[in-house]
Amino acid sequence: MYQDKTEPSFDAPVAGMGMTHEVGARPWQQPAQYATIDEVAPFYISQMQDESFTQQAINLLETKMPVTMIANAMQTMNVMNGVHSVDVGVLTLPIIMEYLMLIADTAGIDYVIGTERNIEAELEESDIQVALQKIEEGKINTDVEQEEPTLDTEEEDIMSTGLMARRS
Amino acid sequence: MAQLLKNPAKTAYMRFDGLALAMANTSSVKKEVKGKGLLKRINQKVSKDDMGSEKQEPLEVALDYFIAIRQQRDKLKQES
Repeated sequence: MYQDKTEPSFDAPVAGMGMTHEVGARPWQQPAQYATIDEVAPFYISQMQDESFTQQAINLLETKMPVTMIANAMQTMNVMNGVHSVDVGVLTLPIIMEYLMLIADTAGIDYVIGTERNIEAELEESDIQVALQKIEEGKINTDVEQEEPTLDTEEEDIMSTGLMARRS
Repeated sequence: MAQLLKNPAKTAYMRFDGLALAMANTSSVKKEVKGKGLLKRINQKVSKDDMGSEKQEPLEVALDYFIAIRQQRDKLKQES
């Protein structure tokens, strides 16, 4: 369900959105609340030990939402709230994922990690690269001849049956 | 690099997973080595040097947490 996402995402920020406030007015532009892994990891672990969180996580994992997606969302949200910096967040991601999997294992549910290889997507990217290179080298003719629309008089005669149609 | 921007969790997890597996393999090899005399002392010195560095790098700290949780998971799997 989550892996075959073909719809465009509208969650991305609007261009120039970052310049709508003064520098330092946003939480992520302030010094982070926790600066080291030793502070951030216990923060996440204590958050994930909460019973309501555990239940929510189990529900999400049961819908086959990848663990990577949940971890990314949690980490990004805390960067946005100024809890920690991006680099500390990236280092904490595997810890969050592993703990989420521990929760899932304890509950005994099947889950999707999200680290599985998407061979189709990888091939698609390389196909696009090859096609672009061929276009640059001139191996592919990009001038597509457009057919001129021909008026089919017979068809028009058949169609003109309305009240205002010309009568012969 | 593009993958790290697209899905940082996937990239970071795969690297940590690889590191954890490598560390598990090396630790099991270390345990198997048994020596006498000088070899034993060298092994002891190496282990002391490993423990001696008080300030760990952020990556090492993160890896320690990761391995601790993984061990918990492995324990859970063994029990069930």
